[in-house]
Amino acid sequence: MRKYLSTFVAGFGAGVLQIVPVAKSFSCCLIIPVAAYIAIILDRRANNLTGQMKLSKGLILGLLTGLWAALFGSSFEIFITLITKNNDLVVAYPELQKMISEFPLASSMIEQAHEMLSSVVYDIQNSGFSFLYSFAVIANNLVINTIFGIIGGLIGAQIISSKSSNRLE
Amino acid sequence: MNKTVNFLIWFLLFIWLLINFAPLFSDKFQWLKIIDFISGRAYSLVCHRVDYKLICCDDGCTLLCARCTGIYSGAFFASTLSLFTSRIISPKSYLYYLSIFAIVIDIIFYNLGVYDYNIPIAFSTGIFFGSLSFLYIRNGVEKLIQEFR
Repeated sequence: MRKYLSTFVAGFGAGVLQIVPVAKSFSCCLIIPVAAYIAIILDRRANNLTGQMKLSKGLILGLLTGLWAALFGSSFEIFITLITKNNDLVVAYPELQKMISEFPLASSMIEQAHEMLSSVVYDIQNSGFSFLYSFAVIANNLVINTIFGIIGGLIGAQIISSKSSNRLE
Repeated sequence: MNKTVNFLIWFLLFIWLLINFAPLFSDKFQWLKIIDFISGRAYSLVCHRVDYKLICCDDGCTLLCARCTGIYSGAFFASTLSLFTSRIISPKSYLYYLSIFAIVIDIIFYNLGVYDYNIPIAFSTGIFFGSLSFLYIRNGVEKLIQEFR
């Protein structure tokens, strides 16, 4: 665990920023790659590493940062929904209903989509928890955060390697 | 890099951008509304999709904001170029910092009210950042393949 403590720290930070509305809209898809880059820097400082860095290590650090960020980001989002019994989905529900009704699909399918959506919103408004919503949040965050974590790890490792080779020159 | 991998990346970026721009034509093609809805959920994971930051025309708006559209367009542009050359282009890190700096300055300026959110500025800063990011990712994949060999 200590070996990858830097990913835990950076992932936690990214997870927190992911649910802060203002930071969320500021940073778009930059939070996770930057967190991965920070994780690499922290790892090198903690282990007193200098010189070139293997890209596979950057990839692993980025991947782990993404995974931690997904775990923390999802947990915070589910927890806040549980307390407030409100979230983006509930706010956008009337608009979503209108949108689904306009789909060029069979009426039975549209009805099923309405039922599923309303049951999710009903669960959130009454108990603050919906299994389907929580599953969607976790799955989405896992996929997206790991991809952006890997990208951040790859770019970060190259920037750090080029910096250290410049110093050597 | 392997030409197949190069083409695959190019194709994925092409599809990603195609779906992004699909809502601009959804009034003409009704079935695109379903794709918009499904992919809209996925695109909202990588972009805030605030209404006034989207690129719009009479028929609809893009799924991603102007900056994200710029980022992926830049990546697509660099990817298209890389299809025609086997040379590895290593971008200077100061250029990459400059591209991030341009985005940060733009965000700070419009949030301070120096100017209103400007779609062309957001799009062009995105293109600059996206194309350099792609070059880094491409080099990264290349070196990774060598490391694993």
